[in-house]
Amino acid sequence: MATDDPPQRPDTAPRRGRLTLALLALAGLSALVLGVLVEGTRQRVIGNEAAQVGRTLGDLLPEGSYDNEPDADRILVVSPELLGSDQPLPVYRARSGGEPTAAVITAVARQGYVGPIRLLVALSKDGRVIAVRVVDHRETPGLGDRIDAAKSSWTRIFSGRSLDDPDPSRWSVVREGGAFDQISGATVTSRAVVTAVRDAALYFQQHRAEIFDRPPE
Amino acid sequence: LNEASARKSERRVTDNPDLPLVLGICPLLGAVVSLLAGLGLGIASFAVVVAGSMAVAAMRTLLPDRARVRTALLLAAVVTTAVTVLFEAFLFEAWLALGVALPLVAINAGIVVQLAAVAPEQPPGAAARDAARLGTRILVWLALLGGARELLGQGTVLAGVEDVAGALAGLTLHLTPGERGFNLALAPAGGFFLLGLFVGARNWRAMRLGAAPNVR
Repeated sequence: MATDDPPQRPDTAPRRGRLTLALLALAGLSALVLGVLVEGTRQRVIGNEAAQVGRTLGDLLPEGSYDNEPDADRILVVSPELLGSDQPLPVYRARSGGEPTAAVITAVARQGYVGPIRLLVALSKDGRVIAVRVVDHRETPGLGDRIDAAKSSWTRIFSGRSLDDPDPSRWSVVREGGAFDQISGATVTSRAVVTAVRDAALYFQQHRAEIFDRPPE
Repeated sequence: LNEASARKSERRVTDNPDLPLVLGICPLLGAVVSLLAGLGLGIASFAVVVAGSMAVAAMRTLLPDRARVRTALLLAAVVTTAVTVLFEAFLFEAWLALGVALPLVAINAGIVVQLAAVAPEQPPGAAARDAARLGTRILVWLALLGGARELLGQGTVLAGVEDVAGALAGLTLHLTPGERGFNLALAPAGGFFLLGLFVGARNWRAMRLGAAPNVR
């Protein structure tokens, strides 16, 4: 890089030793600094994430339909077939006067155009979709990213739908004979989301009692 | 490399003051799709190059010359990680939007060259001043690119500002109704097209003023 570097001399043991030592010390110091920083901000980050989840749940669930704190009334479930991940995913419960009113299921659409799409699907206790929100995705800007509520209102097409309306076999995009409009130019993304919402509804149908009865963790 | 060809390839870089800058911006192009994203990544880049340069300058007498490049890479990674953690803790909304792209600041060629070749030659104060100058240029380029892509792609300027600071809500300009814009501007390829046009415009101006083009 710099023009005034001394001409290359052959490596001798003491010079190599000093270089190794200096880099080791620097790496150790760096690890220490980063460790302290991560530890020092951990509580703040956890608070940020919890506040974010609370805000999103507040957006998804109708006001006045619950009197508990759904972000705290949470269980973890695993269902690779229906929820798209072999990792435990949170399910949040909404209750009014102790009676279950709705559940918000976390689901992963594995067949996104770019990568997995993480969704929150709010379902009322009778299995009707209240609202769907995409919480994490890497779909194409301007096309697939219209699954994001901040970019377009497309996810509203699920509101009020259930496994009886339409029948599970018609839970696909119009282009494939289904009942849901795809985002033009983003059929793959749309299909992935429609399928993931249907599977989340199926999961809810099959595990309803467990979802509401398990103690929070 | 023999002496002559080494000097020649070195000149190819040093005679192109904007080349490391432009190369350094490239990894970030995928994420710089709005004025706010450009400002966020620009501020992060500024912080990384200034803090990293001061650290390198402070340690310049302790470290062997041959450790310069390795030190620069290590410090760029460390400071970038620190900035990412700080974003996650104190600018959470910005981190949600930029989280994936922030670590890429560490491989900004302009920043690495600054840490490896410029900062080790200077006392910390001068290194910080030099780094701030580079950081400002990166910030301006990213903000211009992000702003242009936002304007072309979705017809707004400064969209989403209310998520970062509620008091600034209403500063957003909506220039086109509806939700469709010029999609190419938002795609990564569109970022490279625009960057190319920017470089072309700068070179055209430089040549009209009788100077050599900034980037060849």
